[in-house]
Amino acid sequence: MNEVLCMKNITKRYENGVLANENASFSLCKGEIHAIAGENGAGKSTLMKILFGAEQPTEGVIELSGKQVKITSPKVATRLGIGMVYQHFMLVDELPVYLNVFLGIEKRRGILLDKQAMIRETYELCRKYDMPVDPMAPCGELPVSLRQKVEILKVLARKAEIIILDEPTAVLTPQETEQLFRQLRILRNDGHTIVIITHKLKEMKMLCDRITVMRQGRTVGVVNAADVTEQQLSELMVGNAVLLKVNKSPAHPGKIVAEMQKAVVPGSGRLRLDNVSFSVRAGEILCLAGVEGNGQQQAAECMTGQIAYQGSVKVLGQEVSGRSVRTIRNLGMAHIPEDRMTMGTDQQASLHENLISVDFGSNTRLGFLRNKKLRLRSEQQLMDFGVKGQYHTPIALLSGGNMQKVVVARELSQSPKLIIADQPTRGVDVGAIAFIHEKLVSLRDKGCGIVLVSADMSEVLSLSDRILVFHEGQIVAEITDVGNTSEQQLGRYMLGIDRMEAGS
Amino acid sequence: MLDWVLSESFLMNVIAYAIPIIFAACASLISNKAGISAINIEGAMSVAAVAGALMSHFSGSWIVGLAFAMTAGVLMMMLLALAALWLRADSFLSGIALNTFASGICLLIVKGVLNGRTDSSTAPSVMVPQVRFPLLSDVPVVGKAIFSQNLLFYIMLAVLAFLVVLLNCTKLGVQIKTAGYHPEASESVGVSVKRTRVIALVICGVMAGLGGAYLSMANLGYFSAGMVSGRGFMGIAAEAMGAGAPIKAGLFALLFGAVDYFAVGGQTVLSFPYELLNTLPYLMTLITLIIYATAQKRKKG
Amino acid sequence: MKHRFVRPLLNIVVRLALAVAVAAVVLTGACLLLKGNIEEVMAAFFLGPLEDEYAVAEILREAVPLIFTGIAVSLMVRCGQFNMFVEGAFFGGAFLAGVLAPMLGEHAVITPLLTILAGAAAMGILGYIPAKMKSSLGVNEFVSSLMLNYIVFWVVMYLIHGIAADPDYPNATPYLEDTMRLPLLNEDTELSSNLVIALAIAVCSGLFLFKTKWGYALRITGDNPSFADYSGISSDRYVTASQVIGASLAGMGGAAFLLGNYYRFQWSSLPNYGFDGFVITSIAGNNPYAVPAAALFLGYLRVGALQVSRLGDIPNEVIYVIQAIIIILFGAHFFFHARRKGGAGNA
Repeated sequence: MNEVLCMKNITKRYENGVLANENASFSLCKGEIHAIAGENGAGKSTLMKILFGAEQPTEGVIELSGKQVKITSPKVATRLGIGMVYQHFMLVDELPVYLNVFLGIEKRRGILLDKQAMIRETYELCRKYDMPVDPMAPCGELPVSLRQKVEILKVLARKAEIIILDEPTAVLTPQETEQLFRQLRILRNDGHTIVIITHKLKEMKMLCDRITVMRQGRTVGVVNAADVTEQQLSELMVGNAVLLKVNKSPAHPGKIVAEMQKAVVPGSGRLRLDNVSFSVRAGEILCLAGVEGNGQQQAAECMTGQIAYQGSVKVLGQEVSGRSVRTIRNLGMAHIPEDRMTMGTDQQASLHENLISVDFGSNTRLGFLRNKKLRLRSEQQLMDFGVKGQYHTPIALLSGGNMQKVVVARELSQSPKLIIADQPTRGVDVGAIAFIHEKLVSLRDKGCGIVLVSADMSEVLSLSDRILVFHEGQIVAEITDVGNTSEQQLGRYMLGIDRMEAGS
Repeated sequence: MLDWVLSESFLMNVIAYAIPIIFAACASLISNKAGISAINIEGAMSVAAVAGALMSHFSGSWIVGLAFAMTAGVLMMMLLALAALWLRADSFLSGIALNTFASGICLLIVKGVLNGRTDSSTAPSVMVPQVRFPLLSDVPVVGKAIFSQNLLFYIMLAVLAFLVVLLNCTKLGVQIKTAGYHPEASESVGVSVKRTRVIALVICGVMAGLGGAYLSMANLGYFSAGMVSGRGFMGIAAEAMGAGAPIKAGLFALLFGAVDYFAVGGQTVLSFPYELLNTLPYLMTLITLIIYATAQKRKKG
Repeated sequence: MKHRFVRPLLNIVVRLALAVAVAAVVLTGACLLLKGNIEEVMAAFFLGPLEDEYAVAEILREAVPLIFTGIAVSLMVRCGQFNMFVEGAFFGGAFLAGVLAPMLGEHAVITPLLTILAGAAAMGILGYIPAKMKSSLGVNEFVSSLMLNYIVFWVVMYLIHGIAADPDYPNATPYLEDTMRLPLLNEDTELSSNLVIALAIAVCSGLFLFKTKWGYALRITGDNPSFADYSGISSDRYVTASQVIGASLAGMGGAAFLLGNYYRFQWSSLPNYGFDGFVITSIAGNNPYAVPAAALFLGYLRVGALQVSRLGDIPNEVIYVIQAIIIILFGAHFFFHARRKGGAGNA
């Protein structure tokens, strides 16, 4: 084997003392697909950011083809032939594909852009690596899977030898994932070396040649993908045997707590929600599954009163169409939003101020907040949900997992009858995921109706009691026997390849 | 009144009133594209007007005056860059502060140089020359307005064309748009957002400087305190309504200029209180903003 | 608990020291440019405002309008709104007081009180225009409120040159009898009781912002409007309300200022107090409780600048330059947000 890259004893300590990497090592062979595996917060992203020059290591050395290099910026990394596809795409929606591909390395003729040359080369790259992208299309109009292709093209246009992909499959369906893998293999056969950051065991086995496993900032092992089982991998990643399943008893659905009838949400081009009807019962976890942008989010947003729609939504028997969020919340709706940073919290406020935002109005005297009482309650909630912090701690100081716990604490403490949980465990560490799942299941058992929107297949299959699959704004399948459904089958529904007959 | 509106001089004057607003709109456009709002365009124009008036007077050359006006505009924008990009103060608050700064420094300089006067009429500017295209300027109605104008009018046309080309056909244009739409993307390919924004602010300053120079070196022959009187802000409003398109912003600015002149020119022609006529440009801006926003909202559904 | 008091206090001390340093540097520059005597100028600027009770009263007088507009701006900025109508509202409120008080007649206490309330109400109503344009149509409040300022200004000019004018006294409103005005606190220095109103408003605004449910909702809306909406707080309502409240406090301030310090309304240009409100609130860290202190401080600088201008070399406008630099330095990220940055890591 021919080693092209070696990272030795990398330690990364942030200014605030957080240790992201400790003595981590990593090596790459030419022409391999290499996975960096580990739970959230294991330090895999940081290690790769160091390799790409986006972060600087506190200690340690990087050798490229045997020579020690200092990668002080992404620009240097690019010059050294290293490219990175971020999880959050770095695409300018307003610019066409070809300009995004050549962003920063625009071709010029004189002082003007050489648009023709860039279009031509983008087109050629697309053909070579079998990527169906229109060079002229504005990036903002492309679906997620194609936007990702543009990111890869961007890296290729820079003649990268080593390509790092950060969680590339997080936003893809199984079928799209397969397509991506096919393209990655073409790239490997073309002589590129590929690193993918992931925590999905199956994908590592399926795609990769070797796997570097990370835990708590360190490398805990390098294995050949062919030599290990998934169980062994997960043990390496977590340290001891993991719970891949959520502990829960069969559901006992009661009466309907929320009902959507013939809801339509217009969008540019096709409808975002096309005549959708469904209901959720007390004591069940109903999952709205689908590839991002197929209407499941909009369905949830209709129920929380956040977007306008035609049709009817009833919460606990009351029509809430056109009513305010306040009204719906007063009926007993709680909402864990998709994005805790932009919607779920006030990043400039304290934990206490974040905990009282949904019901402060009913704890006042003559308009003045009953602060003593509310403060005691906040302290209690922080304790109950195991949040590390005091009531006056600024929420911005908390980790992602703790922040999400604050959101969950606030929402679940309202004794809700209906919970809309939109990606409740996205970007949260394993401990917090288990905790949040446990809370949701226990509320279900107390007779709460729960609507779950999730892009995480294993969460969908392990937590839900019933699944509605959305495709292009419609419900294409209703799965009641969740335990006997495979990710593959779910993926076929999500892509619209299979479809159950209506009325089932 | 109709005679007045349809007269050749009306069109001439409308264009004269619109020129500084168009320069301001261009300045606002380029800074907004780069993702930084420069509301101190108003103040920058005023400082540029002082610099142009005084320097052209003392040097005896309008070219020197123009150069100093542009430099003054750039300097004011560099102060914004210093505040907003390096000190990371809110660009909005910094803009307000710099407008205050400008009104102070203008008077300080004029008073300092001209012994306590608040205008420079005792030290008249050397005017930017008129340009006259023979033959073409004899075309009726529009001939004089388009082919026999102040040099700054043609510079303004060039600036508009420059903006269109810059934004659509150059590397810098792509960088500016990226810095505005998605700064992280710019950084991720190694293009410093700060650098791009500074360049955009330099261009913005040049344009604001030209707008200021027009006021004190072409429109009026000297600087007087408060002569910008909201034209920078009107430019910002025009740009907002042009939604980032240079030509559209220019047309809105022209419209504002027309109403602005209507208010001033109407004072002698119409029997209507001049105070109320003076509200016209602002009232129109307000109403246009409402109409435009309503239309936008309806379009979105 | 310690950090909750010590740190803000330290913060304020550092800010003031910085502001004084800025003033000293600018004055030195102005002296060099305009050939002033540095020693004389410094003495006049820093000690002049404190030399006798008249000068001190002058500081307090300067502070009153600044407290009103500072409070008005701080409430709007807390809600994320950069509305300039405070300028026009202060002007409009003052004009209205000049017109209304003589019409109401000589009724001690009642006339000034009603007049002030009317000023607040009228300017609140006008302030609703840019506020509603922002919350319902998404029109940038900065541009619209500026335009409204000019409109209010010219309409007032029209009225004062015509129907609102005193027939015997051109371009001014009728004479205000003592009973129509706010009582004086001190006959000798002519310090008006509008200072008391201003302080009361500061305290009430602080209570409103930090202790009431409306204040809480307003702050949350300012921090993160989508979080507010998600929580069931109608952000549009608070975006509108904060601007209306701000405008009406400014209107109230204008009226109280006129009834305390003038005998007629005869301003012929916008007084710039609205823009000053932004200076004040940035010194005060957008905290209404700290606004009076900030206003006193700026009042002190202004009286200082006035003293300097009496020496003859350096015009009063130097204060604008000092003010601008202070606002920028106080707004600087490393300064303003140091507290939050401390442990937030690389986020």
